[in-house]
Amino acid sequence: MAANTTRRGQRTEDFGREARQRIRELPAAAGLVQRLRAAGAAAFIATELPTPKTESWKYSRIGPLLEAGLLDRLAPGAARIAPLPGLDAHRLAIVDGLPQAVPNALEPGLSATRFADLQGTRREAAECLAGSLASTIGRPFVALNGALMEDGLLIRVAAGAQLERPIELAIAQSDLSAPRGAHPRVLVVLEPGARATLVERQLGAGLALVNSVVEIAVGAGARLDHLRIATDAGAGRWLGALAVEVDRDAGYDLSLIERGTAFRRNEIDIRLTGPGAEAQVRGAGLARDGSHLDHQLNLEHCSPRATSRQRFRLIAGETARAVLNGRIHIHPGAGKSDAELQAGGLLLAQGAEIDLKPELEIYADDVQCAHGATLGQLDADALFYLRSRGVDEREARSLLSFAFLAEIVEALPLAAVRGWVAPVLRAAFAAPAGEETS
Amino acid sequence: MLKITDLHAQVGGTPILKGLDLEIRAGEVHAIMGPNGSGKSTLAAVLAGREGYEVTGGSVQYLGRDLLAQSVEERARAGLFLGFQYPVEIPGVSNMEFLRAALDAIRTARGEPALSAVDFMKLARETCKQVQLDPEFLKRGVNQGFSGGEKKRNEILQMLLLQPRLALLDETDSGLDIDALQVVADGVNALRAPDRAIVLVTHYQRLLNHVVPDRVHVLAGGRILHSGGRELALELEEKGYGWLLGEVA
Repeated sequence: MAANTTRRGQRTEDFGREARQRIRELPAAAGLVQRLRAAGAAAFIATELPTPKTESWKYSRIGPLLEAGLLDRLAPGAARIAPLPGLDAHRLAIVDGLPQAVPNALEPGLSATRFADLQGTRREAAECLAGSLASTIGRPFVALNGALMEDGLLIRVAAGAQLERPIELAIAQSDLSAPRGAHPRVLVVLEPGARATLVERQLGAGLALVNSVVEIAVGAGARLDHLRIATDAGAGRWLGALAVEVDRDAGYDLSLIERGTAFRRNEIDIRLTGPGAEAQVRGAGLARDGSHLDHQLNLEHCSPRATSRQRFRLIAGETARAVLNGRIHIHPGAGKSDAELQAGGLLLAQGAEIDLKPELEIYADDVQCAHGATLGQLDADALFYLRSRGVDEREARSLLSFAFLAEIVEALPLAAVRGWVAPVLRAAFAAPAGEETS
Repeated sequence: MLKITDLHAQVGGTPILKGLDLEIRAGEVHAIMGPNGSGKSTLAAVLAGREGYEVTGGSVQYLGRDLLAQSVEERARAGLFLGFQYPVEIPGVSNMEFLRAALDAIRTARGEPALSAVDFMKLARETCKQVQLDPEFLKRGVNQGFSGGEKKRNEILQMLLLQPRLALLDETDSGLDIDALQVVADGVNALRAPDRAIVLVTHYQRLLNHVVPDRVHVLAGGRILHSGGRELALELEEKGYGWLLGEVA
C-alpha cells in the first residue's frame, strides 16, 4: 500500500515535471493566447496536482491521466466529424485542441472567431472575459489548459439576436493513433437579450487527453440552451471544465448526455450573478465496464431571487464508477434564492459504484433549498413483467435501464438530438460488456 | 396441452402447493376458484416462472415439454401468457415500445416475420379499440398512471396482440366495474379457439356469467379439492367454500 502510494506520488510528480517542461518548450504566441498561456503557466506552477487526499478528487483516481504520451503535442491528424443527423446547425470544430476554420455564412448576430484572429473591440471584450470565468484556484487542469492551449474559439451572439439555427460545436480527437494531449478553449458570450442553442459534442475514443475549458457569459435577459453530448466510450481521457456566469434575469439550461470512458470528468461551475437569474442542469450518464464518469457541479447563488434546478440520473454497470458531487452555495445577500438538486443512481451490477454527494452551503435567510439522492437497482417486478411477455432478459434490462434516463433524454431541447441520442444510448445498454474502455 | 402432476411449491420456506394435479386440453376454458390464501396466485406465479417460488416436487408438462425447465421468456415464447393481478407500472418504457418488443419476440419464436412499424401501429390501435382503451395510452409509460380497470384492459390488450396458446388470467376480473368486466370477458371469448386453452383464476363467480367454462376447479390448501362443470361455480356462489372444505376435513 505504502509502496503503491509512493509510486503514484512519483508518477504524479513526473507528470508535473513533464508538464512544466512542455510549457517551457511551447513556441511563443501573441495577444490573448499568449496572455492566457502566461497566466495558465503561472497558475499551474502554483497549484498542486491532486493527491489521494484531495477532497474534490476523492472519487476520481488520477492514474489514467498520468500515462505516457498524454502531454505530447502533435500536429492533428484528420478528423471525420459526422454532423448530427437532422440538425440544421452552424458547424464549428476544434480538433486535437486546434480550432478549425470558421464557416463563412453564419446568420446575422452570430460570430465565431479564433482568439488568434481577434481584432479591435472584439478582442478587448474577449480579453476581459477569457480566463476570468474559469478559476484556476485548486484546478490544476484548468491552469494546464491555459498554459498549453494552441488557440481558442470565441462564439459571440450579439445583443438581442435570437438565433434561428443552433450552433454545433465538435470538440474532437483526430484520427492519430499516437497518444497526445489537447487543450481546447472556448469562450461563449451571449450579449444582453440574445438567445441561442449550443450543441457541444465530445467526439473520439482514442487514447488522448482532451482537457477542455469552456467559459460562458450569459448577459442580462439572455438565454442559452447548452447540450453537451459525449456518447463515445473508449480510451479517451476527457476533462471538461465549464464555467458559466448568468446575469440578471438571464437563463442557462444545460443538458448532459454522457458515457463513461477510461476517464471522464466534468468540472462545472455556474454562477448566478444577477438577480432573477435561472439555471437548469439535467444530466444523464451511463458508465459500464470499468469506465469512469465524474461530475463536480458547483452552483453559486450570488444574487437574490435566482433559481436553480439540477436533476441527474446516473447508471453504473459492471465495474464502472459514476460520481456526482453537487454543491449549492447560497451567498450572503442572495435572499429568495430557490435551489434544488435531485440525483438518482442505478446500479446494474455488483462491483459497480455510484457516489452521489449533495453539499449545501447556505449563508442567506429566506431561501428554499432542497436536495435528494436515491440509489437503487432494476425493479425485479418490472423485469419479470417484461420477460413474461417474451422479451429476453438482456433486452428487458436494456429497456428498463434506458427508461431510467428517459426523462432526461425527453427533456432535451432539440427534437433532432432527442431522436439521435435515444438509439445511441439504447445500443450502449444493449452492447455486451467490454467495449467501454477498450 | 398442460399437465400438472403432484406439484409442490413453497415461498420463503412455507409450503403453499401441496400435491396439485390438473390437466388442461386444447380448446378448453377452465376456471380455478378458491378462497383467499388457497394457492391460486402461487400456481399462476409458478407456471409463469416467477422468482422466489420454489418448486419442491412434481412436474408440469406444457405442449409435451417440461415447463419448469424453461426460462420466463422461453415459456412466453412457447405461447404461455400470464395476465397479472397487479400489473406493474414502468415509467420511461412506452406501452408502444413494450408491446412491440414483446410481439417481435413472440413472432420470431413462432417463425413469423416481425411486423413493419406501420402494420404494428395499425394492429395496436385496432386492438386498443377492441378493449376500449384510448390509443393515446400507447404513448404513455407501461401502465403508468393507469386506473385499475385500465391496467386490466392493458393486460387483455397484450393477450389479444400476442395470441397465446395458453392464457392464464390471475384474478384479472377483481376490482372491475361491469364495463371493464365485459371487456375482459369479450377478450377471453375472442381468444377461444380449438388450439388454445384459457385458465381463469378467480375469486368470484361473476366473470363466469360472461365466459362459460368447460371445467371448474376448487383450489384449497394447495390442492385441487373438487372439479366439476360450470354448475359448480353457481353452487359455490350459493353455498360458499365451507361445505367443500368441511368435506375434506
